[in-house]
Amino acid sequence: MELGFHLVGLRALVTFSSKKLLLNRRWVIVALMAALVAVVMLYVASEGSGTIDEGSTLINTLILSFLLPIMSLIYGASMIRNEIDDRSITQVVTSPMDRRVAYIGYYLSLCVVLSVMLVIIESVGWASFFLTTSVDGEAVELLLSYALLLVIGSFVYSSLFLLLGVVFRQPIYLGLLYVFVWEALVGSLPGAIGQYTISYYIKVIGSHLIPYGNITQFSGDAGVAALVLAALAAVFLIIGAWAFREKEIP
Amino acid sequence: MGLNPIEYRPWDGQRSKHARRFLVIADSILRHNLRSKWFLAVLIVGTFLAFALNIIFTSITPHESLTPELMASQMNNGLFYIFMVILVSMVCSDLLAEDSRSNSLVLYLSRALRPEGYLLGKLTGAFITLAIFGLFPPIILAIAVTATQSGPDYLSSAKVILETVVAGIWATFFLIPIGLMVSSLTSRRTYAAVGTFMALFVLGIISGIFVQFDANWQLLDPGSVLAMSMNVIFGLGLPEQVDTWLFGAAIFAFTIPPLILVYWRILRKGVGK
Amino acid sequence: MSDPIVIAKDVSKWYGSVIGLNNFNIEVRSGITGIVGPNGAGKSTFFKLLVGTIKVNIGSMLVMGRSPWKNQSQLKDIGFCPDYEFLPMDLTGTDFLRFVGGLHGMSGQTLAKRSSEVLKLVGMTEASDRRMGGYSKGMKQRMKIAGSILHDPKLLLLDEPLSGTDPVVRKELIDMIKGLNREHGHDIIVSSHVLFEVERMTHDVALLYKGRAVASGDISEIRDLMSDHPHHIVIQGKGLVDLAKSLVDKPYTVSVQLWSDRSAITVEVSRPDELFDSMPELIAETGCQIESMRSLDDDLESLFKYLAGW
Repeated sequence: MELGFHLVGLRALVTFSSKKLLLNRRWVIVALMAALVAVVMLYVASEGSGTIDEGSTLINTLILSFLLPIMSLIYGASMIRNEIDDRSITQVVTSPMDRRVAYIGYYLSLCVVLSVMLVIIESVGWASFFLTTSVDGEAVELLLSYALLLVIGSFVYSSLFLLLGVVFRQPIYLGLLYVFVWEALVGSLPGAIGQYTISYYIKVIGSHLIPYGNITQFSGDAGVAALVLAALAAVFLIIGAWAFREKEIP
Repeated sequence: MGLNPIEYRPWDGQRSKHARRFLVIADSILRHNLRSKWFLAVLIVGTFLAFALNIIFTSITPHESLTPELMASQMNNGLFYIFMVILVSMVCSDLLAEDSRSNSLVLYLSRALRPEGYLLGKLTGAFITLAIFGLFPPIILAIAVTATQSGPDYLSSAKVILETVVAGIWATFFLIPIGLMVSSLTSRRTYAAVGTFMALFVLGIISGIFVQFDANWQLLDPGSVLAMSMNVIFGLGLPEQVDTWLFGAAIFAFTIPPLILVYWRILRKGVGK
Repeated sequence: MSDPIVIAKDVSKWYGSVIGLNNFNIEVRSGITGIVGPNGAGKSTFFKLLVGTIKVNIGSMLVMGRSPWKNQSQLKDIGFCPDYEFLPMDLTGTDFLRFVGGLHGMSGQTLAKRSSEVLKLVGMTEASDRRMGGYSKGMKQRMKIAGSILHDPKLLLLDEPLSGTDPVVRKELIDMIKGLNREHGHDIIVSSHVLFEVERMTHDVALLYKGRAVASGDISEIRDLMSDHPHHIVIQGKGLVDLAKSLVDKPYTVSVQLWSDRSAITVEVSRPDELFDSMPELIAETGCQIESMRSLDDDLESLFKYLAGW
């Protein structure tokens, strides 16, 4: 079917899915997370040294290493899965839009919404820390650099967890095992095995953008890391789109 | 016109006492989880990683007797805690969320059970299910080490085995109130599972950040509190910097208020709110 | 005769160990076709195969000449209204149609105009700006139908569109469905387990039972299949005892039952046409006065029970 037709369908699906994600009651969780991050960073700013290193380490620990994968999991693994379970996916799978295009629509809306939410949380946390210590050009650069990393991370994690949501009936458990066992445990082991995580490559890029905090301990080629992440996202996206097209939806 | 008795036979059995009905719920929870492939997979992997290798290795390594330090270190290992968290999330997530989603709570409480019996049944069912990981493997480990000890002091080993039983019971029970609490706050079990995970890990992460300012911030992390209680049970005491009263308060905070909240939610849901 | 719009040949579909359709064969032509069967007969499975959300395990299914599985483009000619709830409760009716229209490549003024037309057709113009979570069952059914006809499909698949609705709404929906075919030219396949409602919409039916098509075609043709099946006819009037005695001797009579008040007899006959043909002669012979005669089996339910072997 022609491109124009699919673009109209894609726009409708992205708009609808984004609204559904944003207006969901899960925004309460987002608000709570933002508040929690703000409180923690405020406390550290007041008790600690208030240096940019400290601020960077906090953003890396709280948001990049924890909230990014967890929120991608919560939203991504349940996005299509919930629609299959409650059958609201009916209008999508009974429309003439190619299911692979529909899958991309879901992916795009997920990435956009996640990026927006994480950047908001990061901004709140950054403001709580740096507005109580000092704001300068470097602090602003830090904010923008981490925002970029969060956006990149959203795109890659979303591709993974959306795929899990299509393929598995209980994607959350597998996702939790990946985040907390694989990434947290295995990713912290010394040696090459620590490189087999999405988080590692995000931090390699981060270490080139951000010269402060514990993110600098990740060494590696940023170009290669970006390629690996792009390849991973593409592979997960292609497999997910194919799986969605092949999936029977009773 | 009365009831047409054709093919209807009124039940003339004995109703079980209310006090024993919680066992029906506990039994169904255990059976349900033992039929779940995911639960069994995580159980087997966790038991293997956290205990099986240790049982073999520790048994064959020369040792005089079973020591409290050995068992405390086994019960405090990171793998044990992580798998405990995963299993608690899986088991507790649908205990209340599912009944809330299907509105069967109202049915349960309308006649067959009291809220206390319902809560006790859920607690007991979760405990028995999680004991398969949290209680029995440590006991087996302790017995295996005792059986292969080279020294003659079986009495002190037996004491450590008893301490292991207490530690296992406590380790199994400790995270259940938090899991139940999160399950009572949502009607979707996947959100309950993720919520339990997040709650436990967020507390751990924040504790890790704050501990540089005061050692008592460790008590924010349920994993640290559990590890400290293992040390207390095995007679090894608390770290010096940690306040005993705060430690007690942390134990209280992780167990009693969540259970109170769960009870309140059951009462509310039971009247259809 | 037009080409069939649906051809299913030796179709089997199972879900694990549960069979949905079992060696199912059917040809559906244009017009309104009723798919009738009890719960679990395979009606919904048939519809899901038609829209390609599931695939056949064995056999072939062609809709308008093409297999529906992995053939999304065909869905521009098919509108589907499933039996289950799927409407997003937080959206208004207008927003829902905007979304569905977008998925079908419609936008702008074209979509707005078509949405208005469709809302008027289903009688939902006034309620279209309210959240669908507040709609009644009948309103939700109308919106589901609206979503399925928005893109003006050739073929409409309505899976139990009347379920859960009250008698007034049911009549309105039946009239709407008939109008969609008669005035707007949609071919419609409609399913139900409420037999008399299907009869009100169409005479072309296919009967499903345990995953198989037990009969299909015009209701009267199917009824002819029952010619060897005993019919029960109630005759009411006066002086029926002698009539009863005469009927007992007839070769087509299986049994005669006189009602306790003698105001009527129930005759079980193997060939009802012969009874009807011989009635004038019997009335003249016996002198009885007939007030009414009716067949207890002359409906789809008895037909179905017979064909399904109940």
